[in-house]
Amino acid sequence: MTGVQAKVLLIEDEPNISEALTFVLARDGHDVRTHSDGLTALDAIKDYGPDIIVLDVMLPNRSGFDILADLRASDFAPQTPVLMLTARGQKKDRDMAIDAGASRFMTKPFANDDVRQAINALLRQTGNHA
Amino acid sequence: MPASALTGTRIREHRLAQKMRQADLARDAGISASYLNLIEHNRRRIAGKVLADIARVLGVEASSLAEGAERSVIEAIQTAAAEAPGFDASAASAEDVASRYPDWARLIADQRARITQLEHSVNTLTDRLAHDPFLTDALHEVISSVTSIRSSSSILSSDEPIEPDWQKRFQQNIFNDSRRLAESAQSLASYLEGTSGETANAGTPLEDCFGALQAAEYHFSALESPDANAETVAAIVGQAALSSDAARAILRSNLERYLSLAQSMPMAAFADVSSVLADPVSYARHIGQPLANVLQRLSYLPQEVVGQPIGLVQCDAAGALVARKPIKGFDVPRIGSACSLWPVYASWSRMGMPIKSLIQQDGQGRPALIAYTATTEVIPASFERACVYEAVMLVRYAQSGEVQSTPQLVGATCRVCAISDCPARREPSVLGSLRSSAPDDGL
Repeated sequence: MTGVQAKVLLIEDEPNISEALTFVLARDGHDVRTHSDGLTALDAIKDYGPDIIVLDVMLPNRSGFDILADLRASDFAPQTPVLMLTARGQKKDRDMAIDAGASRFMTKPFANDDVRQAINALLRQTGNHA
Repeated sequence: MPASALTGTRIREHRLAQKMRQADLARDAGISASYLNLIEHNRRRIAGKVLADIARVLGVEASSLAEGAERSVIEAIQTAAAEAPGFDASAASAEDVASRYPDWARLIADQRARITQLEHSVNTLTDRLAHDPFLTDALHEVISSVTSIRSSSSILSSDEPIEPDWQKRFQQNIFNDSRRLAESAQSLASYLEGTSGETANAGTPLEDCFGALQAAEYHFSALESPDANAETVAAIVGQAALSSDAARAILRSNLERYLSLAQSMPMAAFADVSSVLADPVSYARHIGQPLANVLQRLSYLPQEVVGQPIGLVQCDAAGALVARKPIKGFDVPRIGSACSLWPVYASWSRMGMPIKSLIQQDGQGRPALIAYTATTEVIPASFERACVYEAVMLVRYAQSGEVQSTPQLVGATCRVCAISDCPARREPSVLGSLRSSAPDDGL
């Protein structure tokens, strides 16, 4: 175990990516829950109350940017750190993510270790863990 | 009408409005009456000092005499100056440039119009890359597959122990994602080379024309009528969704060719198409038509008549594709040069001699194809100029009995071709090297 144990919500519609990340983060001692639909993502956040969210940009039914904007404006988890995952790494995509309130931004294809380190760094920054 | 014609007419209008005699205006402007007469009847170009002197005598601005086409040149120069970063326009006004150097001014205006047109083309292509839904989906699919493979494989390759069930699960995921990656990459490559039905609107007139032909499935029933004529062609061109006059001109040329072929070889002459496709050379001889014409005509017949998909490419002597009809399993590049191993290019070294080849395009599950190739004289030779030739290649799926030898492996274009040891390769492939080319056993 290398990081801080926390509740991680992984919102990602690619099942094999979810499975691999879940395996890696669970092995680090995190409690990982997954969700794949953009439309009900906010409900999932509200239900689970994660310490950190890993959020894909391209989701079915709703974009990750829109979900993040609503989350930041919400009254239930506006400060939750969010690591955004996207297939597009252009500056304007980074700017959009930061404008929407992302805590970190990561471009696919990523290395598992980069995701782990980013999550642990965000948890340490916020002290937002179990 | 040239710009000066407008100017001369306008000078005459001003003079008559002031009830001034031609001789008086000429004298006061310091020119002969006969010269002014030529100017007023738009038979002499006028600019610079003469224009300024006439304007002074008439009591009007020189630029007002240069309204019309010259005005548009002045405005074009002003826009060009405004758009040029750091350009200091204080040395001379656009009016000065247009009146003192009308030919140079027109050149600047024409070049600005050309730049605007090119910028529009670049923007169209950029927009296509950025917003094409098929491209976005295909790239997302590729990146998702790669991400999953990378993530799963790094788990398997790490030093940390992993239970056999998980190990097996991630191995299976990698296998599935690898297959998905191969399919999405192939789909993307095919799309970029122009075989997908989800063709976005093109950026060039030729692509635009190809799009219109593809939308009509390369068949125009109106042109099959014995009464079809140039007006029928014009009506089809008028209704086609084309974005430029250039595209309309190319489509018109294609359809005029279609009409000519349909009139010389009516659809009724193809009652037994399977026999024609088995031996088009004999059929061409039988009906007294050049083989290239028969091949082109076959490609314009509807599939319900032909009974099988027919593809066709036609290239000029420079190798540029001037007609393209791809079929599933035979990609034709949308832009750039095609594979130089295509038999259509071999026809240049065997002018007048038809070629039959068994080919197969590089890629998983591609069918063996029969390719018939012939050259045709587009413009006959004369004492003034050499003959202009084009080469035509028809492709159809090979029947099982026709595959007696290993098909010659060909590509679509080097950029998306994975043949590893191709002697004709012009540039490296983005797909890497996966397959070896088969020897050309011929038929």
